Order: sequence, then C-alpha cells, then structure tokens
Amino acid sequence: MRADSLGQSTIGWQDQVLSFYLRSLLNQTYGQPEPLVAERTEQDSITTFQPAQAAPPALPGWAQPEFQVVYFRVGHMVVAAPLAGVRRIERLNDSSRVTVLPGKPDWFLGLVRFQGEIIQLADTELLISGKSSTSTRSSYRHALLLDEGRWGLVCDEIVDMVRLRESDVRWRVNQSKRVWAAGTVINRLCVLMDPDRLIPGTQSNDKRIWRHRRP
Amino acid sequence: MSEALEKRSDPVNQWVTFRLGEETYGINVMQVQEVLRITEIAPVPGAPDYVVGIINLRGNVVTVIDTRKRFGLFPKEPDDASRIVIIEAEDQVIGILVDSVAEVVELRASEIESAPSVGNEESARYIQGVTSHNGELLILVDLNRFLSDEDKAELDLF
Repeated sequence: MRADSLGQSTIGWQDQVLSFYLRSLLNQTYGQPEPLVAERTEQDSITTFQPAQAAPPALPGWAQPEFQVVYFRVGHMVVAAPLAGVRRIERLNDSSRVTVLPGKPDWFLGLVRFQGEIIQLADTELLISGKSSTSTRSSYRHALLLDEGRWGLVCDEIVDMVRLRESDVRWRVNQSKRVWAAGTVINRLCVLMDPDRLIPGTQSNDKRIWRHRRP
Repeated sequence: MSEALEKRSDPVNQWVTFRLGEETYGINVMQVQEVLRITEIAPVPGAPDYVVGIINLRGNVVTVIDTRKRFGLFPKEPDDASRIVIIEAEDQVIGILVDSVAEVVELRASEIESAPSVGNEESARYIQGVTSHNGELLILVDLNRFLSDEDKAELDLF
C-alpha cells in the first residue's frame, strides 16, 4: 500500500524533514522510499536566517547632516560639544569670583557673574568621569555657557572648532547609561556630548527633539 | 506706573548680612532679634553635631547652632569677630554662630534671583535666592526652612 503524499502546505522545512522521516517509516512498512525534498519557503528564510534589523539610533535635534562642534579639554580628556547648545564661551581668570553655595553636590562649583548674568558653574570632568584628575579647580580657564538654563561647563582649554557631518560620528544606540554621551567622533576618538543631558536633574526629555538616523 | 503702585509690586526688604568663610549670607531683618558677642556656651551632651550648646539670654535658654556645620563648611574656632545672631523662625528662638556680621542691606524683590536647585539636595530648601551686592553675590537664607521639622523636634528637648 502506497503512503499518502503530503499536500502543499506553508509549514517550515524542519517540519518537512520530520514529515519525510515519518513517511520513510511508513514506506519502510509499505516499501516505497521517497527522496527528501528540501522546500524552504521565502518566509522561512526571512524568519530563520536573517537577524532582526537594529533600530536606527535616535539623534539629538542639533545633529543635523552638518553641525559645528567645539573641542575642549578637561583634565586629560578632550571632549566635543555641539556649538548649537553653547551660547557663548567665557574666560575664567584669577579675578573671577566664584560664590560657593552650601549643601550642593561636588560637581556644583558655585555661582559666577558674567556680563551681569549669574551663571551656575558645573565641574565637567567630575560629571563626565566621576572623578577629578590631577588638574585643580584653579586650572579651569573657560566656561561654556549652555543654551538651556544658566549653566556653565568649566574646562581647561578650548582646543578647536570644526564642522562635522553626521557620518563623522558613531552615534550611540543604547543610552541607558551615560545619557550625556551622544556618540564618538570617529577620526578623533573622543566623546561627543549632548550638553542638555549632562547636568543631573535638569534633563527634560519632552523638550528635546529627537530624530531617527536613516540607515 | 505710580510710585505707590510700583512700591507695592516690587517691595523692598532689609537683610542682615553675615560672613561664613569666603561667602556672605543674608537673613530677613524682621527675624533678627539681636546680635551678641561670643559668650559662654554650655555644651549639651547627646545633641546633634551642629548644636554648639545653650546660652542663658536674660533668663531664657537659647540653643546655639554652628552655622558652618549646618552648611557643611569646614569648622573654625570662634574669634573676636564671631557673633551669635538671635533669630526667630516659626515661633522658635535660636542663636546662629557666624564668623562675623557685616551690614544691613536693602533689596528690592526684583533684584533677587531664584536659587539654583539641582535634584533634592537639602540646601534647595533653605536658600531663598541670590543677589548681586557691591560686586559680590549675596546668598539669601530662608530662616523658616533653615531647620527641618526633625531638627526642630530635637531642639525642643533642650
């Protein structure tokens, strides 16, 4: 007695192998071996062999196809920040009077007046690396005044200002940690920060404009 | 705008200023009862570390607080310039030990900027604002929030 042939179906190729085996068992009983026909449907190929496509990284609103950055040094590190988030850079010198407020976190250096405006100074190195390097607070020579709020990020030296393309940066996808790090500038291997996300307790995700990078 | 209306919308208050280290602080003059030179302060065993001790002020026991410790500053031995400022905050009279008392300044409400607040740190509670005065920044303290409810409860036991 001939085994019943299987009809056309949408089952996967693994199931077809199993079916062939079972048919073989049946054919052993009935004496009718059948060749294995590997039928991989297009659907099987996609679901079994192609990895899921990673979601493109979400970029900050300032990450236009071309954008300007300022490189600055804090301690031994060189960091990049988008100029779009910096409204001006002020010089700190020995006569700059920093008023220390009680009970503030270590990274909160104090208040300073620039052109009649009271600015809150943040220790950039401490915020980025969690510790201070050999440079002391007296070595801070500049403050990058941010667009958002009255914040100024202190640094030792302004290194350079350049124009970057979106493709010059390896953008971070997973930002569960170090939310302030937007990516890495490839040819300089330095961190590109998102200034709006550096100061703890001041981020407002609702106000930021995110756009997805096209793969 | 008439002058009277302008005064009402931008009131002027007087602030007693004192020094702690390199910084100058201000407290509302209406809450200052008097300013004393350093006198004998009796320590209180088991008191919080920011409590210097107690003094006898015309028959009343007044607790003296070390403002430096309260603000997390390095301690300093009192000297001839040190003063005890007797203040009243929410029906509680206490003395605050400061490095020196400076002057009384008049400030318009519009001259005071809001205090920077980051997270939930304690100072966000009692720093009322900041203002520029004579080229320096003045830190204004809200005495009503200087002590927490827990602090007040502990001071009540003396």
